[in-house]
Amino acid sequence: MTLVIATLLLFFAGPFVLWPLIRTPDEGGDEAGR
Amino acid sequence: MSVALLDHPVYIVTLAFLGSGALLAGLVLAAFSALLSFWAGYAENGVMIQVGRRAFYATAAMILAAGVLLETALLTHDFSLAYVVEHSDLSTPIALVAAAFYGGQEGSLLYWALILGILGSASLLASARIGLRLAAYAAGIMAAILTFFLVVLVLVASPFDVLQITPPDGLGLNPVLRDGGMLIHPPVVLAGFASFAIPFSFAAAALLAGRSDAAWIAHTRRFALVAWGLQSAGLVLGMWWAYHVLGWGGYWGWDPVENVAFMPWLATTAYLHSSQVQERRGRLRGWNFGLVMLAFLLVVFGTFIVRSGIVPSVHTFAVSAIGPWFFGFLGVCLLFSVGLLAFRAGDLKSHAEPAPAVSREGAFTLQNLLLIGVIVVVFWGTMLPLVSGMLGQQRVVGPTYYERAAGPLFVALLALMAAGPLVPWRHAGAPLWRSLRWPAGAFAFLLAALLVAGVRSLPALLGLSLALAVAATVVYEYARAVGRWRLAGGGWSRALTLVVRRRRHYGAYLAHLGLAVLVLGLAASHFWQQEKDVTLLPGEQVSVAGYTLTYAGVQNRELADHSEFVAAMSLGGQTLEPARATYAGLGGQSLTHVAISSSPIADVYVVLAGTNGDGSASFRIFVNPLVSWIWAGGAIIILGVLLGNAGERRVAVAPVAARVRSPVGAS
Amino acid sequence: MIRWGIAMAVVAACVGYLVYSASGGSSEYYLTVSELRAHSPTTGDVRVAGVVQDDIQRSDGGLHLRFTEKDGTASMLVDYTGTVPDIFRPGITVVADGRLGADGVFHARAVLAKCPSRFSTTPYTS
Repeated sequence: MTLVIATLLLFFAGPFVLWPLIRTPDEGGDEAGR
Repeated sequence: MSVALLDHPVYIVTLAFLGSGALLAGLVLAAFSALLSFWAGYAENGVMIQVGRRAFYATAAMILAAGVLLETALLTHDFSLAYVVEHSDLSTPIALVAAAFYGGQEGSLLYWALILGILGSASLLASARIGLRLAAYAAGIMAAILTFFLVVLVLVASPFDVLQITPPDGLGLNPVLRDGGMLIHPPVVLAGFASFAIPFSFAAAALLAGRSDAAWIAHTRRFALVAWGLQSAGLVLGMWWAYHVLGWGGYWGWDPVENVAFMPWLATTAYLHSSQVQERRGRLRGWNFGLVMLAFLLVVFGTFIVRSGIVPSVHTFAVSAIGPWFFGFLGVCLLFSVGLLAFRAGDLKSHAEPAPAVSREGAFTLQNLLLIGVIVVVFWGTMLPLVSGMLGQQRVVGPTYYERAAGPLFVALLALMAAGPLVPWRHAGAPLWRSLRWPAGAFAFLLAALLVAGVRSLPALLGLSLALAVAATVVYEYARAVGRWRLAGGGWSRALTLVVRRRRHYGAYLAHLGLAVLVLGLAASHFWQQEKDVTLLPGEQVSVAGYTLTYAGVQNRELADHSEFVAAMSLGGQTLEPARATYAGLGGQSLTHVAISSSPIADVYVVLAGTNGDGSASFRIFVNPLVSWIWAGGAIIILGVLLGNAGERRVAVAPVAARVRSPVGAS
Repeated sequence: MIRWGIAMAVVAACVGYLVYSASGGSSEYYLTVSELRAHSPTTGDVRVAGVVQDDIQRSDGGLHLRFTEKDGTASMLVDYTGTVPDIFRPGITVVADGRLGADGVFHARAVLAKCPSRFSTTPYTS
């Protein structure tokens, strides 16, 4: 059950964490970050 | 630590599962953040650095969620959790139930991780000026530290372990811990410990990236100051708690637990001063990096000592499963730190000329040496039982050792504090001797007064007189500032501008003043404490150090979770009520409630030892001079830290000599 | 640089001297009751750790105590004047600081007890 909850939480956290990648899908190189 | 099998299907979501799920998710995110941040920092991949940083924020969010869940479990008395059962019960006051969050092993580890997550996130959000690669490495290191804590929380010491059968009530909090001090002292000290990880991470990141500059110095100093402020508050609160609750009339015992909280504070004190030399002249870089890393290593070492049970202490340390884990972590951190310093040793050498010995830089260098000396003294005293036990018969040292060995060093440091602020950065000439009149005068005045009053103890004479000299220097500096303000035309808005512009300066001096007040309180209460044991019949009087107390009689009182014997005593117009409380729910264990009458001059501190069949009561009475100055001094220090650290955006000081070499390809 | 090297050496020597002289004069042996019975050092104070037994005698309104400390098979009578920590009761571990008298009774000038464990990981068993 712990694993289920953890996986669910990671699933929800995913978009937030990977947002910089989603935002600029074509530019994989240096992007002057925040 | 086994998670019990429940007797119903596992797809029922309980709070315990949510909590352990959050921790596991946090662990995955932390490990991901650490690996990605290091790689992305090395490759200078801006997008990936961003992702790694967001993973860190997400980790902090997971830990926060776990924390909220644990607190909810406590407040709703969810006794299916072993942790809730072990640290609370239905009759414990709600504030103390809430405080149980950080009161036990697992919860305090979670709290530690929570502080690191929150403060770490704040440090990253504020890191815009220091460059992407440096911030990425720092994020990686902080994420790695969090990974360790989460591994321990998930695998070894989980706060969300479930019991096979839910008991109707918990075991409750030990009566000694049922006090207001329990609410404040542990969270502040734990937060202090955790916060030393931030400057450490940024220092290590700078070594890894091979660069450091003014913006990095300002950023690291700011978080070192936060850690120092928290730890100062934690130490003073700890002393206050011990004084009010434990009933032995003192506030510091040089116990290993106290010592391990003190040592990182000493290292950071040194760093806060010597980093100014780096800021202005680019010198003492090796010292600064070393001190910041030493502070964190001492924290890890201290956590290991406290939770492993290897050193005898009045604080019980169960020989627990997490000891070996922390020992391993300490080893890794030590190797990492020493390796980094060795790797960058060449870069840490300064190219600027060393300043003359009698200069601000010289004073700070001497301060570094003296503070390291104190750390060595305290470390040796703490480790002696372990070392001697391995080589033969175990030996311990008591307060006398610390006073004799560290005392002269403290005296030297006080002298340095009194003279230092007046010593210029460059050559010290005639103006120095003129301005030194003030602290010297204060010193001579109090010294003479004490000698006339009959004081012959050298430590007391020197300690008190030098503390007054420190205060005199601060007052002199403030007086000069007022003079400049008057000269410039006076007025409230100008006063505000002056204070705000040099607030780091004035904040620091306020902290010095606070320390002087605190030292005066420590010295007076230590050297001139008076003690008397007495047995009195109702109506009888006793006199201690000029205070006369009359014993009125004993009363019995019944309260919600305990009953009390109160032996009322009158002191002048006041009534003191020293008591012995019996907690029926805990096998009749009884507890002292100390009665303290506090005034700026002295505390009258009364402990009820017991009552006799004939109606008489026995007391131990202390008169502690100037104790309230300790708490006042602590408050002034915190004020100074807040003033000095308030919202600083610009880099405060322009470097005087050559800057640290700029990196290639810095962003 | 040489100047600072000398300064460091001087401070290090001072610290070394302070540590050595202070610990020589004020360190104590830390023994269990069995060890004390076996070796019984005669000079200086010692600290002895043991478990408090059931026979606590209080007199003088609680300011004077006599109790037995035990460790394994060895036990020792302790005589102490003063206040004891709140947690003091049969079954807890205490450390008595003092000296073994010629009468076989340990005269303690301080009694330290272990504070309640906040970091114990002994699990709850019903």
